[in-house]
Parts: sequence; C-alpha cells; structure tokens
Amino acid sequence: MTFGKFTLLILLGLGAGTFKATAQEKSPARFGKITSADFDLSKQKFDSGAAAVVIADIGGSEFVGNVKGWFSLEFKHYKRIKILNKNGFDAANIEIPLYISGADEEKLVSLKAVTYNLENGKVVETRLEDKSVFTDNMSKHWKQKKFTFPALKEGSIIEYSYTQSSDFLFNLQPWQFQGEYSCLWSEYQVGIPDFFQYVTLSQGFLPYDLNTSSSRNVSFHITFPGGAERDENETYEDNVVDHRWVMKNVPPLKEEKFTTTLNNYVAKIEFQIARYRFRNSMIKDIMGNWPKVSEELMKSDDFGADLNRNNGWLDDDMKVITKGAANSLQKAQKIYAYVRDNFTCTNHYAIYAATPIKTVFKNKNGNVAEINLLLAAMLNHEKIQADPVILSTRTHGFTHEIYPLLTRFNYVICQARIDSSVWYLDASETWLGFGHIPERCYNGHARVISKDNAAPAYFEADSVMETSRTTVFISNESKGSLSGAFQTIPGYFESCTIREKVKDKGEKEYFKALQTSYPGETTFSNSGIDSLKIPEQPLGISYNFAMKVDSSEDLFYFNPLLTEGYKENPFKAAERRYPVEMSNAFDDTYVFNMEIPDGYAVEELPKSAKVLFNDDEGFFEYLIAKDDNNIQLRSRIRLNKATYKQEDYATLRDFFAFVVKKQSEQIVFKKKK
Amino acid sequence: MNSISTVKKPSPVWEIRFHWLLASCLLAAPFCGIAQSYNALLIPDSLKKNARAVVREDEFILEIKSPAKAVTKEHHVYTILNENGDNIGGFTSSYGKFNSISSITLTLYDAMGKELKRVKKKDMEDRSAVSEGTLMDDYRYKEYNFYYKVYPYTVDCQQEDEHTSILDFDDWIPLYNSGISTQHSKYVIIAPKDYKVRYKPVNCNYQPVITESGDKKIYTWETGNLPARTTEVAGPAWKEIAPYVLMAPSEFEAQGYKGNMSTWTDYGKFISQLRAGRDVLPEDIKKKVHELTDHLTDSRQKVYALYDFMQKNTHYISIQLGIGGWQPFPADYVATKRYGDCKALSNYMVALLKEAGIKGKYVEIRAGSDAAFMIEDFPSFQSNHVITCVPMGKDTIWLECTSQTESPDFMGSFTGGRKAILIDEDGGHIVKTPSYSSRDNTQCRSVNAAIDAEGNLEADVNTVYSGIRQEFPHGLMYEFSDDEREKYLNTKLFHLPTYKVDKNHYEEQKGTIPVVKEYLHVLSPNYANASGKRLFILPDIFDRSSYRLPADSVRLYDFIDKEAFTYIDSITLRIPAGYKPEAVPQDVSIDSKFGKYKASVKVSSDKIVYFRRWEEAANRFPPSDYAALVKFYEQLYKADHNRIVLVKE
Repeated sequence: MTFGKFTLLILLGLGAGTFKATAQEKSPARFGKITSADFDLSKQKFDSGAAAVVIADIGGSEFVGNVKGWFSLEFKHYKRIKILNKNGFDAANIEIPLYISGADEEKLVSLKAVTYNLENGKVVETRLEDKSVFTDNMSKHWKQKKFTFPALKEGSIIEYSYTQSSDFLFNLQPWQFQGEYSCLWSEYQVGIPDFFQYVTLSQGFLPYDLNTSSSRNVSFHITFPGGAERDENETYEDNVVDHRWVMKNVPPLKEEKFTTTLNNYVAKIEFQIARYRFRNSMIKDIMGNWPKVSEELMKSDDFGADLNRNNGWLDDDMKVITKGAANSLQKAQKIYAYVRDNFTCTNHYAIYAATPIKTVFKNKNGNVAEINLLLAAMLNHEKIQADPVILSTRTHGFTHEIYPLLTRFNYVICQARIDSSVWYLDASETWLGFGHIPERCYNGHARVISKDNAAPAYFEADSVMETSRTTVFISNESKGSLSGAFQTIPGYFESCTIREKVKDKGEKEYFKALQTSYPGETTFSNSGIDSLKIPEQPLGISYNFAMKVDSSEDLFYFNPLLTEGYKENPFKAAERRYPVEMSNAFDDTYVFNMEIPDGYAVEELPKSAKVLFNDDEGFFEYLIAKDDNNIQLRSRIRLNKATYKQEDYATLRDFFAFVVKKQSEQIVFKKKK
Repeated sequence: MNSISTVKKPSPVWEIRFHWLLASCLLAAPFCGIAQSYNALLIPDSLKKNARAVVREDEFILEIKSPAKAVTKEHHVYTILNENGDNIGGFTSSYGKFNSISSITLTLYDAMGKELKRVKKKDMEDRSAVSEGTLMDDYRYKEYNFYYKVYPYTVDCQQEDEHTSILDFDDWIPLYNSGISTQHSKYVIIAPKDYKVRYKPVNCNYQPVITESGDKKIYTWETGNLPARTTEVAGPAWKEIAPYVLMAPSEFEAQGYKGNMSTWTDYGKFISQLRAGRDVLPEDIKKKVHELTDHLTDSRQKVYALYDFMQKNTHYISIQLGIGGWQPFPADYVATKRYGDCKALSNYMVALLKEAGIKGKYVEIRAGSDAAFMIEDFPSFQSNHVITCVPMGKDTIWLECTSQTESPDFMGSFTGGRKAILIDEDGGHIVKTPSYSSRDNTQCRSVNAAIDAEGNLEADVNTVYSGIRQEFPHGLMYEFSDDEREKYLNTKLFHLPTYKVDKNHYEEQKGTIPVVKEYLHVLSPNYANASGKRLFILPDIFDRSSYRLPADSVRLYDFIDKEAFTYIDSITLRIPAGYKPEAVPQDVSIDSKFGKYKASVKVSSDKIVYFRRWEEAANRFPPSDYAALVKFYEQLYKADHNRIVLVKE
C-alpha cells in the first residue's frame, strides 16, 4: 500500500491548553491608522516584480449566541493592500461570497473600504460609497457582494474590513495564508468554546511565525424564541480557547505544469466540526468516523438508500439488458455497457444523488454519483456485489484518510466483486472500457462505501503504466521514394484520447493531420484503426507511407524516429517549486527497420546510447546497428513513476534534454559512386 | 493565473446583444400553420448532409405595441443529429432591464417524435449573467439541458418575452451557423400601421410579404430547405456568407429617453441626448487641464498631454445597469472614482479636451481583431465599444481610452482599419479608423549567436517590433508580471528543444506606429544536432513558419489574409573551428501575389550568415487561387526548415 507521497497535512491539537501564548506580537496595520510613512515599503521583503503587495491580511472567527436558541459564527476580515503598478489594479476588485440555504443566509455587516493616496506628502482618503457595493445573486445557494475601490492609482493603499455573520457552524471560515500577491503579514485567530470541537487541518510548505493559544472565560447570551410565548434569554459560561496563527513575508502562489492542483500545496488552515456538547447534554458527534459515515451514507436518500432496496422496477429491463450473458462477469459487462452507452453524465463532479435512481433510469441522465450508484444498483439486482467508491479527482486535491471529510470528495465510481476479482467501474464516460477508470481518478486515497464497512482504496498515478509500442519497416520497393509500413499500439489512455479525436473529426481527418506532420512530400495508403469500438482495448493504428527522396542530392539525411519521439523538452521551465505530478508512468518502445536505399551507402550512423534515470527509476535507450542491407533501431523510454519530488526536477529536465537530442539525430546516406 | 492570451486591455465590450446563433430560443403558444411532426425520419437527406443539427421550425414574432413596448413569441424546433449538435439542443435565454421572460416551454422528443419530457420556466435554474471582466450588470439567464444522447432527438422550445424598450431587434438569421441546416424559418413583425419597420437583407434578397389587419401592418419573411454550409480555414466570417436580414426600430424609447434610428443623424442625436450635461468636470480637474496644456502651443501636444493624464489617472471598470449599457457615466464621476468603462472614459476624455479648447469626438465602433464589418447603410446598434477622436484637418488623432499604456493615435488590430460612427452635435457620421500596412507591422530580428561542437547555442537576440506586431510584446511589457513574462519567455516563446532566456529587456517608443524593442539572451543546449562527425543546423533559429494548409479540399470561399506584415531576420551564427559545409540550402526567392519571401545563407570558415525577409499585404484571394496558396505556404515551410550540414574536416 502506498500512501500519498506528498500528503502535507499536519494535525494540530484539538481542545485547550496544548500551546501557551508566548510573544504578543502585534499586527502591523489597523483600519484607518495610516501615515505617509506607511507608503514606504522599501524596507520590506517581497518579490521584486510584484504588481501589488498585501501589507496585512487579518481574519478572526468567533462564536456568539444568537436569537434562534443557538450559536452563530462571526468572521471579521481586515485587509490592507498596496497597489504597486497597473497590473495590481485587479487587487482592488473585491468579491465576498455568501452562502444561502432556504431562509437562512450569511450576512455581511459593517463593510468599510477606503483608498489612500499620497498627494504632496499628505495622505488623502476616498471612501467607498454604499451605493457602489453591488449584490450579484449568483444562484440559489450563493450570492456575492462586489465592489471596486475608488480613486485608485499606482501607489495607492487600499483597505477594507467587514464582518460576516453565519448560522452555518460547519462553515467556520478557513484561512489561506498564501495568495496571488506577496503578503507581509497574514494572521488568523479563532476562538472556539469548549462546547464545540473542531478538527484543525493545516497544510503547506511554509512555517508559522507565530502559533499560540490561550484560554479565557466567555459568557454567551442566547435567546430562545418562544413562539406564541415570550422569548427566553439565557446566559452560558464556557471556556474559549483562542488560537492565533501568523505568517510573515509569505511568497505568492505560482502555478506550474504537471501539478494536480495548487490546493494541495498552498499554505492554509481549515476547520471541520467534529462534535459538540452543549450544557449537560450528551455529546453530539457530527463528523463521526469512516464506518459511521459510511453507514449513514448508505441510509441516505442522497446516496445509497436505493441500493438497499430490491428495486423490482428494474426486473423487466434487466432481463433485456443481460440477455445472453453466460456468467456474472458477462452480465456485469453488459450492464456496464448499457449504462455507459445510454446515459449522459450531466456533471462529472458530484458525490450526492439529487434524483432517485429510478428517475435517473427513466431520464437517461444524471451526475457521476447518480450514474455510478445506478450502475451499482443494477449489478446488485443481478446478485453481483457492487459498492460505491467515493474519491477526489486530481484537480480537486487530496482526501483525508483519517477524518471522514466528505467535502474533500467530488466523485463516485463503483467497485464490483465478481468471483474472486475486484473491478473498478465508471459508466460516466462513453470512451471508457469495463474495468478502467479515468486518469483524473488516480489521486491516492479513496473510500469504498458499504453498509457495514468503509475500506480504504488507493488509486496512485504511479500505478498507471502506459505502454506503447511502435514499429516501422522501410523497404526499397519503389524508385525515388521510401515505402514504409507504420504500426503503433498506443497506451490505454492515449488510445482513449485518440478515440475521442476520431469520433470528433473522423478517421480521414485524423490521418490527414498525421500525414501533414511528416516533413516533405509524404502520402499515406492502407490506413486503418483497430479496436476503435472496443473501449476496453488499446487501439492499433497502421498505415503505409511513401516518402519522396530527392535523388539529385549526393547526400541524404534521415531521422529514423520519423514523426515519433520528443521534439521538445516537456520540462521547459528552469526552476521548480512543487512536486512533479504526471498522470502516469510510461514505457514507450519504438522499433525501426530500414532497407538501405538502392544506390546509397550508410555514411554515418548515430551512436547507440543508454542512460538510467535515478538508477532504477527508469531509462532511455537508443540502440542502432546496421549490416550490409539493413539498419535497425530500438528506442525505448521508460519511467517507473508518475510523481517526483522537486529535487528530482533538474534530473528530469536533463534526462529529457538528452532524449530530445538523441531522438533528433540523423542517419547520413551517401550515393554510391 | 497567467493569461497568455492577447495583449489587449480587458475587452471593453459593453453590450452583447447580438443574437447570432443564440440557442436562446423562445416560443409561443398558438402557432397556426403546418401541423408539426417531430419524426426525425421525415428530414430530407439534403438537409442532413454536413449537418450536426437541423432547424425544423424557426418562428419569431415581434409585436410592436409602442416605441417602448413589445412582445416577442418564439418557437424553435431543433433535431440534433449527433453529439456535435448538442449545444443547439441546450437552452439558454438571457433577460435584463428591458425584457422579461413571460413563459418558456421546452419539450424533448425521441427520433420517432414521441414526447419524452416537458419542462417549464419554473423548472429552470435562474442565474446571474454578469460577465467576466464586468463588475456589475443586470443580465440574468435561464438555462436548461435535457442531456439526452440517443440520436437523433428533437427539442421544441417556446418562449414569450415582454419588452419595455425596443432599442434592438433580433435579426432574422435563417441559417444559424456552419453545420446546421434549416427546414423552415419565419420572422414576423406586427406593428402599428404608421410605425416604420426597418430591415435590410444581407447576402440575400429576402423581402417580406406585407399585409394589413385592422390598425396593424404585418411583415412576414419566410424561407426553407436551406442545406447546411461549412466554413473554411482563413475563410470569410459566417456573417459574410450566410443570408440574413437586419432588423431595427425607427422610433424607440428606453427608460424615458426617446429616439429614432432611421438615419445615422437621428442615431447620433439619441446618443448625444444620453450624454447631455455629462461633460462637467470638477474644478480641480479643470485647473489641472489648464496647468497641463496652457503652456503648449501645438494642439497635438495638448491632446497627448491630456491623454497621458487620463491614462495615468483612470482605469477600466465595467458597470452596465439599465440605460447605462448605452449611456456614459458623467465626467465628474470618472474624475472622482478614477474609473469607468469605454463610454465613461471616452466621454471624460472629450470633456478634458473641451476644457482645453479642443473639439474631441465620441466615436462608437465595433472592436475586436475579428469584429464583423459594419453595415453602413443600415443605422442600428452595431457597436460594442467607444473611442475618442480629435479631427485636425487631414490629421485626425485617435485615442483608445480604456488602456493605460497604449500610444496616443494608435488603434491597432483592436479598432484599426474599420468604419465607425462619430457622434457630433448634429448627429452621427461614418468615419474610418487608420489601417496598418506591411510597412507598419514589422518584426526585425537581428541575432548574434554561436554554437559549439556539441551543438549548444548561445544567442543575443535583438528584435524591433512595430505596429500590430508590437501588440503582443507591448502586452508582455505592461500586462504580464515579471514572473509571468519570464515564464512565457522560457516556455512558450520559441520552438526550441530545450532552452532558457536568462536575460530580457524591453523598451517602448510611443507613436502613431508604436515600436517595442526587445533584447533576449538565449541559451539552447543541443540546438544544433551533433551526430558523430556532423553538425545539423537549422539556420532560421527563431521564426520557422509552421503554417501549412490542408491540400485536398475543394475551396468554396475567398482566402483572407487579415493582417499585413513584414518579417526580417538576419542571423550571424559563429561555428566551431574544424568544420566544413557538406550541405548548404540554396537561396530561395519567391515573389508572388500572395507575398514576397527571400532566404539566403552563406557559410564561411567561422560563421553562417542567414537572411530572411517575408512580406505579406492584407488581402483577399478568390477560391481559384487556393491550390496556389497551398503551394506557396508549402514552399515557405520547406525553406524555413532547410538545414545546413557541417562535417568535421
């Protein structure tokens, strides 16, 4: 079992008293307190090309008693930014999302925003007018408050503060220390009463400059609505633990190629409600543990409830769908193909079903959860054991192995046990084969959800080996041109991509594009694609080609890789900050046989070479030889892993630079006298 | 995070109502006429050829009740033949301040025409349509998709809208887009007898049948059985080849403003009315204007000084609410907020000029490098952008007010070379913005480089870009952060196997034809391929053409070269000692009506000198030239990829 290699989650202590407040270092800025000296950032350290710099970004969350007989969250946010040049003007456009659920919604109170400009040595302030704050009602669950700062120019300092009040206790605001701009001071404070227990999740490569906690006693005033009776007011005392985290001089986030998502690496802290105990009541467990969450999911109408029913409405259709199947495996294959080919996936990122699977079956469409839950129900109906598996796709970030944090998941596939084999199925994509799941699902830890168990499953990109094999024969059949036969079996996922391309544009266009990728005048014949309609199999692509040779030239140069091989280094950027995460390991073999053209002799042949990547993690070989009539080449590149640490980046880049160089070498033919 | 798109300012598109292919269908209740059969088998083969979808029925009825009140009823029936047509079957309809959707009914049918599902307005998601790059507007949309994928299937959409202004009519576009055929299409306008309905057929001769009923006049356009068409590489835009009829109001009213669009004069008066009294500057800005310009004697210098002031003190923010989609924010609003959209900033610029005693003009234009051409003889809302111009005899100055970095008097690919509407006191006038020739749009690259015996390249690359060619480097200079620029230079700029740009420097010379000078220091390991005792070198290091046209197509439409340009490369490449040339490409010189191309190479004992010049004018060639064009670009491709082979002595 391999656990996600770059899991950066560090669990901090729950509850009180693990840390004692040490230095009481103050934040460097407060709303409205500004002098002309604050405009001078020459002593501060931040990236030289910055368009804007965040001077202070300070947030705080605390609990308050509300008038609904319970607690609300109050999130206070203050931010001061200096705009250094025009590219930084975007930093002055602010959007604050607010969540809505039925009659309850998060509210924004006391928004203040001011622009400060230094004019003739004096600080001139321009306030944001209330009417310049817009409300954009985005959708049923989200609205946005939006504004832009007035009187902005290069060198302006802008600052704003607001309080966001929320009745959603699961929405204790997370804090991202790192953002698009450098930040001189990023601070978050959270005061959690002992009534509530949250799990704190902290991640990133950056250390905290301050990380303290202290406790105090707080009185909470709660009003219980009396309905027809009088409201009742109560006051409760509780110990509140205040946590404070500060990072200074935080560098900006930067995107890089071959990264699943920066979300996995950004410095941030998040909170998940675990349980609460109010007054002397019983402890109310919210987060639970994997077995419990699994059990609840299986009972829920939004997930597995339909899987526990006998789904008799399927009886007639299943007879037709599974007709002719000789055994369980064949049955499963027929059911899978039926769902895959007849249902449209309306949303590829979902872990809950919004519609009962009976309706999904009737409408012939559903989100990825609905489609794969339906698949599981149909398999179960045929007495094939099938369970849903929840996971998070690569761009969505890693999931948590210990805590059952469902918001970290965004995808559902299906696990089927047939005889003694385990199959993972995803019927949401027309191009996928039975037993395959899309590349995006290879993101480490996943969970199999069933009534009485919640077993982990692991889908590692490192375990995906894409193997391709290409062979080329070139003969002397015709005069004035080289005749060749080209055959390739691409890797599985590469085959899927080509399948989609061919479906889009047609086979003819596909080969036409291939033909134009050949230099000079080349014509194709006998082109064909095998297994186009068998999504379980890789494709077989073949064609013959005739390549014109200019016989007036004394010398003739020829690259045996033709259009295959690497023309450019995939790792162009010179530096690397984060791990390299490719979607798969691979092993590509290219075999080339050529009859030496009539009337020519080999003047020079590239040299054979073999290099290893990090000893046993991969290799590249280029083996070439000739005899009187033939030249043979075998070029193979293999990397055993898909993910690499930052430290391996330079090696990867050099390795591919060598591959590119070697694969561009030429055979030199000379006319016989 | 990094946008390696184009250079331009946030596209200041202030009004996007052109319903070109909007799958926004609408529909209404009782349609008389042909009994519908939705059976897809009934579609004639001629309409299935090259088609991803068939418009079975397309009816649009606009009933004008008054210049401020109208009702539209639409009925569209689409049969989707394959998955490329799915986007036609999805429903999206936007509404805003001047219209509301009264009802929507969508029905899904299978191939045989059996009804599968029906939904109404209340079943649909209602979402904000505030677009990217806009702080706030009042558009929202309804959306629905059946996500059905058993082909063919048919979607019937019926919609009814109420309008509280008739500023803008949907045009009649019987052929939506490439790959979509039309079985029957009909457009009806019902108007009071004395109301002047305006229309103009484009690329066709469709005329309405006009009948009267009581105090109404009914105009009906109708056609059918139009096979699907396809578009071509470098071919004309859809609106240049597809038949359609432009529709526009004569008298109209919006939010209390009255106007008439029958002539550009009247159109201009309406816009002037919207701007009336909005050119008042605060006292401090007036003072500033005089401070900046009173000491200057030359008007052009005054314009430049004020433009520079405007650029330094404002930026582009788009807020479009109600009539605000057409009416600029007042000049004093821009002065205090220091922001505005194209309308507000141009209006502000005109006010600044006025204070300095200079007559600046507010000019509406359709912006974008691939913007549709303007139909001059049909006054209507055709613009999506506003610029400023200062007429000075023959020497008009043009100003793009949404950019903080653009040179004064440069329009570039965004607004150059096209007709626009200048709004004057006496109404609107057609004007033309400057065009840019192959002399204006140049890229001159001078490379001083060396390779060693391993083939490693080190190069000093000096490039001077001008005109439209400098737009991208201009963006690199101003709109990319240092970090984004480095990333771009090191990953996207050149097609070299492995490389690093370890030094870069940019300099700009503003002007009517702006110039950007770029210096790069480039290292590329194994640029030249060293195989045994030979070195293989592509002497055209940085600018090899990759443009090749598909050869075997039957060409239907003109081939269009949009942009004129000249590229000049001159490269000196030092080579290691002890090599002699084994193969040297011959000089190439092509002089055709498609362009002029010259490449020459000389190899001496210590260096290679390569020169290349490629010039093309903006031009349009008939389909009969296509085969020759294919050959022309093949020759260039081949010449650019010619290799020098050196062999060890």
